[in-house]
Amino acid sequence: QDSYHLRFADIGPPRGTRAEVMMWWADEIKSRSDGRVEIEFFWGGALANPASMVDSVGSGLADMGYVVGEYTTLLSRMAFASIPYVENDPWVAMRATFDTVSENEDVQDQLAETGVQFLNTFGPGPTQILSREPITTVEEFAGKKFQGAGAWQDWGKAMGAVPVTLPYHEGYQALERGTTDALQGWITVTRAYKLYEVSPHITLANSGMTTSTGVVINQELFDSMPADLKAILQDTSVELMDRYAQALTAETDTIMEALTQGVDGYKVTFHELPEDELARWKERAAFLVPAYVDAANESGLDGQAIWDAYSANLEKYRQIVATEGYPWTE
Amino acid sequence: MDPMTLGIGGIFVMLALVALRAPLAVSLGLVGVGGMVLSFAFPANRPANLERGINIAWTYLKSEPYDAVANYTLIAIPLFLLMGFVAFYSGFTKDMYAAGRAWMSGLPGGLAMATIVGCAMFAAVSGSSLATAAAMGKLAVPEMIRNKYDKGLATGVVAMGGTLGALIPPSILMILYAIFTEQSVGRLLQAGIVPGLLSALMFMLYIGVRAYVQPGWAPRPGRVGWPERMRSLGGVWSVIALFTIVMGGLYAGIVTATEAAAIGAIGAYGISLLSRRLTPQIARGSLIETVVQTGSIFAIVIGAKIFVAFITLTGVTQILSGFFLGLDVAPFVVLLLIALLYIVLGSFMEPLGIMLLTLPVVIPVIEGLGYNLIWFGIILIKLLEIGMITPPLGLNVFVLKGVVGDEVKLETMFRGVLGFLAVDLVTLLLLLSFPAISLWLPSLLGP
Amino acid sequence: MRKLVNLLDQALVAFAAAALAVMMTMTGLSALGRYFLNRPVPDDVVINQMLMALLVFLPLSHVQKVRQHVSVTLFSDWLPPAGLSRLEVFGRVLSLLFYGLLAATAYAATLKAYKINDIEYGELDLLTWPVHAAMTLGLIGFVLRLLLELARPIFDAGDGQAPSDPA
Ligand code: NA
Ligand code: NA
Repeated sequence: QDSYHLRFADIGPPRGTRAEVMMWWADEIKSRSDGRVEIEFFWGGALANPASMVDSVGSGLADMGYVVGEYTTLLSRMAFASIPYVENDPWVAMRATFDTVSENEDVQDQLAETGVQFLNTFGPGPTQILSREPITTVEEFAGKKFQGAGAWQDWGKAMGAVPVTLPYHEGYQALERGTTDALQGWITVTRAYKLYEVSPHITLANSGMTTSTGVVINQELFDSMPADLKAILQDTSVELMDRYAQALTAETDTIMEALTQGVDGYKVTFHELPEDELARWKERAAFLVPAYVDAANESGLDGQAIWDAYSANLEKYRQIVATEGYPWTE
Repeated sequence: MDPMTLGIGGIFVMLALVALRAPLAVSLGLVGVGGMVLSFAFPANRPANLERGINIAWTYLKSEPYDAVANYTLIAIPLFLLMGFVAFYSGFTKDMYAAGRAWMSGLPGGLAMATIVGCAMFAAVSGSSLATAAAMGKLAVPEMIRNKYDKGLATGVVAMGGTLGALIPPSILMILYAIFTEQSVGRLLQAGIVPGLLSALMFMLYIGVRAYVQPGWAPRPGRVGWPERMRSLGGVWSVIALFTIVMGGLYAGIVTATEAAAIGAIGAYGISLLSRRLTPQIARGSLIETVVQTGSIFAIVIGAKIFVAFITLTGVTQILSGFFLGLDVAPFVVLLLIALLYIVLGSFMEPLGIMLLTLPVVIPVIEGLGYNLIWFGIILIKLLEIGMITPPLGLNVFVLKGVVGDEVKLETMFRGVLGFLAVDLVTLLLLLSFPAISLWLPSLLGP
Repeated sequence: MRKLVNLLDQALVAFAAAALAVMMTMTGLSALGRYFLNRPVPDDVVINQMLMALLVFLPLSHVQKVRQHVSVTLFSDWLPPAGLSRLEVFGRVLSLLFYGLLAATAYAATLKAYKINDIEYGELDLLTWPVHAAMTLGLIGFVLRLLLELARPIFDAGDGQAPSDPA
C-alpha cells in the first residue's frame, strides 16, 4: 500500500488553538509525505466518543484519535501526568510526559494491550480557577461549589470546596445560574467554551496541568507503514507539541488582555496570588504525589520509579529551557 | 467497495426493512452493523479482510450501546416521563384541562393552544426537545383526546411544541453549536427567545384558524357559565404548584436543567400524596410505564447511533453537504439548499450527529457568504428540530407514541404533525428573511 | 418456558423501576444537599449514567411483551393476515439477530470490564462490570422472549390450540 487516507477522531470543536495546530500538523504530514498520507478530521466526537476512544483507535474504527487519559481505565498508568501543582510550563510538561510514556515499560505494556501508540502528548497550559465571585484565599475557596475533574477534584476537597461533578458542557449553565460557584479551567479553553461569559473572575491558581492526553494511532497500521512515513508521522507529531506550546504561550497573554478589556461585552478580572498564598494552595496538593505512588504500587507497579522517571524528564526539559530556551526562540 | 454506494445502499435497505414492519431500532441497528462490517471488510483500493470488518464492529458494539445511553443529560427524559405519568394518573391534568375547557370555551382549539403555552413553559426549563415532549406528552395528549380533539392534532401539537425545547433557553444543542462555531453562548441563547415565542404564536394561530374553519378537528364545548368556571379553578393548583417547583428550582439556581426533571417527578409524587390521590398502584404503575417507554425510546436511539456511525464512515453526509454547497447559485438559494440538506438528513439521523458532521463543512460557507453565525445558529436549530418530527426517524413522535399507546397510530401522528410542519416552514422563512427577529433581543440585552 | 420468561421479565422490570426510583430520589437529594448543606451525593453523575443503562436495557423483554417496540405498519397494512404474520416472524428473526449480537457483545464487555477492573473515575471510583452484567441479563431476557415467540406456533400446533394472545 503506498498511500494512506487516515480517519482522525477528535473530540473537540474544529476551532480554537488546538484545532488550528492539528490542521497545521495534518497539512505538514501531507506535504512532507508528498501526499501519500492524508488525514481527515471528524470533530466533536462524530466518529468516536471520548469514553471509547482508545478502543475505537485500537480496533481500527478510527485510524487515529485524540485520547484523554482521565476518561478511561485503559490508560490508568498515565495518571502520573495529571497531578496538580507539578508543572505549569506546557512545553516542559508535554515533552516530559511524552518521553516518559515512550520510555516506561509499564506504560508501554498497557498501551500494547490496547493496540494504540502515542505520537505525542498534549497539555492545555496551567489550570486556573473560574468563578462567579473573586477567590483569592484558601478561606474564600472553602465552601465554594467547585466543579473539577480527577485529581483537581481531590485537591478542591483538600481546599475545603464542595465537590460538584457535572459534564463539562453543563459547566456554562451551572456557573450562570450559580449551581456551581467555581470551575476548573484553562485560559484557551475558557475562550473556546465561552466560559468567560459566566465567570467574571479567574484566579491564576497556576495549579499545573493534565498531560495524559494526546494523539494516538492504531498500532497495527503504524507498524505496517514504510519507515519513511513512520518517521514523518513521528517527527511532525513531536513538532506539533512544540508548535502547540508556542501557540499556547503566545495566545494566553492575548486572550487575557482581550478578556480584561471585554469580549462581546463580557469582562473578566484576573486575580494573581501572592507568593505566600500560592504556597498555601500548593501545599494542599502535596498529598497527591504520595497518593499516586501508593495507588500505582497497589496495582502492582513501581510507583516511585515511574514518578522518579517523570520527575527526571521534567527536570531535563526545565534545564533545556533555562539554558537553550524553547525550540522556537532561536 | 465504493463507500458512497455502500452508504446509499444502506439507507435503502434500512427503509425497506422499516416498510416491512421490522422494528425501527432493529432496522437501523442491523443495517448499521452490517454496513460497518462491509465498509471495513471491503475497503476501497485495498485487499478484502472480513475478519478486520468483524473485529471492528465487535469492538464498537461492546461499548456503543452503553455509551449511547450512559449519558447524564439524558436522565431528564425518563424523569420527565415519570412526572407526566404520576400527574396524569393522579388526575391533575384532568382538572387542569377541565378548567381550560371552561375558561376557553369560546376560543377555537383553546386546549391545543394552551398545550403550546405549556410546551413553551417547559421549554424554558428543559434543555432539549425530547425532554420537553416527554414532559408534556402525558400531561396534554390524553386530555385533548378526552375532549374529542382530532388524534393527529392532539399528538402533533405536543410533538411540534416539544421542538421549542431546543430553541427557548436553556438549550444543550445551542451550547454545542456556539462552542463549535466560536460564538457567544449567551448571545445565542438570547437570540432563541423571540424565534421560540414566534414559533409558538404561529402554531397557535394555525390551531385557531383551522379549528374555526373545521370545527370537528377541535370541537368547542358549549358556553360555560361563571359559577362552573370558578368551580373549575379548584383543581388547577396542583399543576400550577408543579410548574412553580420546577421553574423555581431552576431559576433559583438550586437545580440544573437536567436535575429539574428529578424535582418535577418528586414534586408530582409529593403533590399527589398531599392531595391524597397517590395510591400504591399509581406510584408503582408510573414507574413501570416510564421504564417501558424509556426502553422503547432508547432502543431506537441506540439503533440510530449505530446507523449514523456507519453513515459517518461512508462519508455520505460530507459528500452530500459538499454537493449542495458546491453549486454556483445565489446566496439565498444556498441557504435554501442548506435547509433542504438538513431536512433530508433529519429524516434518518438525530440532531447532534447531523450537527457534528455537517458544521465543519457548512460553517465556512455561511461565513464566506457574510452571514451572521448567531442568526444561522437559530436557523440551524429550527432545521435540526424539524428532523425530530419527520419520519422515519422522528424521536419526538416516538415519545408521544409511547405515552399514548395503541390508541393512536404512528401514521396518524405523523399526519397530525404535517400542518404544524407547514406552519413551521413559514416561520423558518420569516426567520431567514428577517434576521432582526433573532438578533434584536441579543443586541438589546447585550452586556 | 413461558412462565420462566415471564418471571424473568417481571423481575427485570421491577429492578428497572427501582433504578428509576433511585435515580429520582438521588438526583433530588443531591441537588438539595448541594444547595442547602454544601454536600451533594458523591458521584451522582456517574451513578445516574449507570442507572440510565439499567433503565434502558432491563425492560427490553417486557417492552416486547407489551408490544411497545416501535415499527411502522403503514406500508404493509394492505397485506392479508397470512402475509402480516409472515412479516411478524421476519421482524422477530431480525430482532433476534440484532439483540443476540448485542447480548454477546454486552457479555464480552462484562468480561473485559471485570478483567481490567474497569472503573468510572470519580470520588467513589465505581466498578463498571456490574452494570454491563445487568445489561447482558436484560438482553438475554429479551432474546429468550423472542425465541419463545418464534417457537410459539410450533408449541401451539402441538397443543392443538388456537394461537394465544401475545401478552
Ligand atoms: Na429549552
Ligand atoms: Na426525522
